[in-house]
Amino acid sequence: MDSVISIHNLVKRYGGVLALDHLDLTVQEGEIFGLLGPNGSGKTTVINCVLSLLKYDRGEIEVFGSPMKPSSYESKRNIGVVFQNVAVFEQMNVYENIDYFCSLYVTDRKMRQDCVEEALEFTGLSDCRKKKPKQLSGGLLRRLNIACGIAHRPKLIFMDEPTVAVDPQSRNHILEGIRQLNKNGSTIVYTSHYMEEVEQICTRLAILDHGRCIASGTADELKSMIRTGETVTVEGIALDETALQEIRAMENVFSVTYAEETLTIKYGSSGNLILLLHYLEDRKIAFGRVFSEKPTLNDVFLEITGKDLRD
Amino acid sequence: MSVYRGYLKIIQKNIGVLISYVAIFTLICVMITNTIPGRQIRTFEPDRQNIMAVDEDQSAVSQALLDCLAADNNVTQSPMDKERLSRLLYSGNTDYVLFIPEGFGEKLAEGDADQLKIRSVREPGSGAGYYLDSVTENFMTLVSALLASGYSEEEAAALAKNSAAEKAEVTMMQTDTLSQSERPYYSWLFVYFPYLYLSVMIYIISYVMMPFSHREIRSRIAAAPVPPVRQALQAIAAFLQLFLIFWAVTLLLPLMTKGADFYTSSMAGWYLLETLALLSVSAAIGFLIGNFVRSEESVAALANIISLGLCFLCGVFVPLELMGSGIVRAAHFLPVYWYETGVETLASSTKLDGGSISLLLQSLAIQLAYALAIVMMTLFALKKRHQTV
Repeated sequence: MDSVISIHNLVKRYGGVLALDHLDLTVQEGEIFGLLGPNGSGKTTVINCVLSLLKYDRGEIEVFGSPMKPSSYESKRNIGVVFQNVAVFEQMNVYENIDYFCSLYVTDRKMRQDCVEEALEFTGLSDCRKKKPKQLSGGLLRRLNIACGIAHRPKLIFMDEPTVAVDPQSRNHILEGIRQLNKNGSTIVYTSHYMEEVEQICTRLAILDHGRCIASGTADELKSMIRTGETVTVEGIALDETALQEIRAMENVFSVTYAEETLTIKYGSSGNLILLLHYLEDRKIAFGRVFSEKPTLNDVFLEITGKDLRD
Repeated sequence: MSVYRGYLKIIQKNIGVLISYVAIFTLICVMITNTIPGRQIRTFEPDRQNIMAVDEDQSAVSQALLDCLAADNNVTQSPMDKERLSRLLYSGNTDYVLFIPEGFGEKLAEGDADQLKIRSVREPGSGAGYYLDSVTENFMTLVSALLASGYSEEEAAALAKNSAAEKAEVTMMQTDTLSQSERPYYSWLFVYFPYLYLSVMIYIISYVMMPFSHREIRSRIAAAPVPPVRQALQAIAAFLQLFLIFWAVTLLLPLMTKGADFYTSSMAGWYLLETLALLSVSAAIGFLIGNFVRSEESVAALANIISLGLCFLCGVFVPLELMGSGIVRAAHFLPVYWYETGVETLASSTKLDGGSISLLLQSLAIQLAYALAIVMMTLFALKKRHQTV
């Protein structure tokens, strides 16, 4: 596979704030590449630098094998962008908006007409073509935002948190659409701070924090990098210090927290729930809800940075 | 021409608002032109008062006083008839009634001015009445002084009469080639055009460009394979149609301001060139503002500051002759000053000589240079902004 985006040693400062700190990233053709990180971690800045919408202080960016500059119009012709905030004209209706943004890339009228119809169909907006943006719900507006970014059939699509403030139905529609775009041959760079989404659709991802790439790989690769194999949570449980000591001493346990009648145990491997339940039954300790979780990307982030991704 | 199409679309969608802006400012401009007739008076003519004189002295001096007043006024002699004189004064047929008592000449010769019983009646608070009082008093003072110096009554009367015949020199603040006739009425409309053009251009260009200045839309367009300079040029091309329609509309305004003779004037071509140059400057200013202003409130504030500011500084509302030399010098650096200079040259000439044509060409060149400089500055700023999303 060829690399579609290659970022090397990228540094971007906003005054005294280091937004991107010697960042290295590579996105391969055909991937859905996730950029995961908390707000302010540098996800949008990476996109703006790649698109040459921002000047950067140091580093090299190559897109489709060529250095990316503001005048790289041939590369730009094959790039689509879905910005975090909805970027459409209030004065134009759905069809006119898609047609206008598509016309920045596709000059042939017939071809553009096909592209717009395809984008309307793809985003499920065919029935709303005559509506003005302010007549659309939040979810439909997001879909229009996506349609405007992808109508010209780009080979590389940047999607900057496209599901923020979207209802579950529209979110599923958007995520399904992204998969479909990828199947149709587009490489996608998807940023989000929703780790479930990233885990659900991305073939590979990078976790950003303070402008640095702290880990990259597939979700499974990242999870395998950390110590946590399973997290068991027991709610509505009353424990004394002796019981806590005994739980800490159990096999595979490397972290135990107990607060507000909730016990959280982290194990180095999976399949530990049954042992814990036996122990509680033997000691006749009453408890409420019990559940086991496999490691998440949040655990990866937590172990690497010492803080929660959701913070 | 995708950006061009986008602008046309936004113009089309906002056509109602744009027409209302044009209508409002056009109406203001026409109203100003029609309601300031004072600026049409370019020559000085002294006003003549109707004086009713009752001369009971019938001396050389009293006759000299009446002759002196008659030089600039309509003097009618009348017998003493208080009722008739009051009626004339009340009805407005007479502005001033002068009583010259018997022995007026003798009393002046004796130097007994305090005892003189010359009386005048005038409309209370009348400026002309005060003026005639002062003419009479001056005459008496002069004759009294001449008689005291040894002149005879006849000589003093003659000298005083000659002295009064001397006219004060009146210099007009501005002299026209058309000094003895009024300049064409339509020329006043063209004087006020900078206010109309600047206001309309700033409002409509900013209104249309505002959606394009929205941060996310700007980013989306900047990410597209269209160079920023080409985007700006396409925007200008889209606006060009709007400008030409607006220009054509403004050229119909002489019909609304009693200035239909404009269309047959030999100067019409020069006026058209001047308005085109002014339109270019106004559009360039509107283009600069439209690219960088984000809210309607800011547009309104800037439109008022710039249009009114330039119009006041460059002699649109207040003639430059009434302004300080410092302001006039500063006005030389503003494009509207050069438009006004061009229009004044056209308005005050019946035929253009070499000097006038050179001044007109200079005025056009300077305005176009301003327009070009502002557009270049905007394009440069846009190119810089292209990478600062």
